[in-house]
Amino acid sequence: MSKASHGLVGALIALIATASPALEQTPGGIEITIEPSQVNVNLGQSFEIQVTVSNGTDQPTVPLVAHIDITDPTSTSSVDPEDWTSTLTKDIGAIPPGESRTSTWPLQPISAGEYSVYAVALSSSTPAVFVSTATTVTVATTRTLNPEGVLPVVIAGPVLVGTLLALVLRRSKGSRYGRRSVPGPVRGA
Amino acid sequence: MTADGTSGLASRPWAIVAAHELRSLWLSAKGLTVLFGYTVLLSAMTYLAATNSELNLLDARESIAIIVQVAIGLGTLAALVVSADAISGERERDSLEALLLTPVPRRDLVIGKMLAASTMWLASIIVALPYAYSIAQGPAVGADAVLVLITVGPLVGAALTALGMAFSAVSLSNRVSLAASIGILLVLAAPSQLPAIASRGALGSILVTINPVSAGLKLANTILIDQKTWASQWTLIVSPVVAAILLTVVAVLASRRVRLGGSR
Repeated sequence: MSKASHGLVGALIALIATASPALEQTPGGIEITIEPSQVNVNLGQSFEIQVTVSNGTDQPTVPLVAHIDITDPTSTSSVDPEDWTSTLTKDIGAIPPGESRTSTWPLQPISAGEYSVYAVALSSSTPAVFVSTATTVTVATTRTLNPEGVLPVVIAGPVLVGTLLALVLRRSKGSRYGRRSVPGPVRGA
Repeated sequence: MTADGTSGLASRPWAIVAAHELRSLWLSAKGLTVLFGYTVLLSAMTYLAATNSELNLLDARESIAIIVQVAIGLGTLAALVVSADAISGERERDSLEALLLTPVPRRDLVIGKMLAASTMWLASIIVALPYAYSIAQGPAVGADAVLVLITVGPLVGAALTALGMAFSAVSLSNRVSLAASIGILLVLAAPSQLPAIASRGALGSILVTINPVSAGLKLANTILIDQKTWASQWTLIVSPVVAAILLTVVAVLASRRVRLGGSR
């Protein structure tokens, strides 16, 4: 290949590199982080995670979506993330060079255990996928003796009606066996 | 007061029958046994619903609607069983002949027994009030929960009590009366269990609205879960009102069919 053709190819590569979005050009420049790194909650308690996608390149990214997933690394059974949140994927759009986009997910665990929550950024126009580190979520089981303050009512209801029932049964038993005593012979008769 | 010294109400044949039936229902432990089972079941349901609600596994409003619907459904079922047994049960226990020999018009007999059976759902609703109110404290819909209970409960309860009484009056067998009454209750409650997609369609919506049981249960959902206003949901109260009036008239008219007959 001549020197002139080397120069032409080099110019074309440079042109393509300039025109291409950052995701295709410099995958290493896209960074995705998830915060906080550790969460301790009780079962049913809600918490939020923040996912930040940063464009460290000098080119705008293609339109991106951020998607979260939840898994239990200690078990082979799958976790359905839709039980934890209604929205798994959020559109974050194209990120200009040097800027970042943050999305917040409210999550609500439905079973106790230790889970890993991680996020990915991806686009339909490129096969590249960027993965965050994992947030460890520890969900503790709670035992509430008096949920919503209903305990007095749920105990008092059957106790009161049961007491009434016992009184009525006792009364009917008494009238059946005790009060129907046969009058004895009249003295002096 | 009448000339013989009794008050006007107490001397009415239906009032005498009602008083006798009330004593039989509540002082023979029959009614209280049913009510005791009802409170145990309601306590278990309320505790489970409150636990789920506190863990946020179930929407708190959904928990309240479930408790209110269970309270209405079970109270209605209890009253229905009592009323379905009222005449046909007397026939099976061979006590109808003696009852028909008393100088009480058959219409008064049916009215008196129906009034006594109605105390079953009345007692159920009174017992359910603290449950509904206590579980509704969290999302602050206690007043609505109580209002749904005291509006829908009596209407659905009265309609189904009258239905049971009508079946009992015309059935020669207690089994037929009970099976038909409970069967009708299940059929009427079925549309409320339709999947959301089916009940949202025009036909599904009409089916739910014209059916007194499903309309009453849906009203509990729309007021307590969807937080709709009472004014916007007035159509759901029409069929329970109409059913309560019509079925009461039907039960009173069915008193003409009360006859000794044979148990079959």
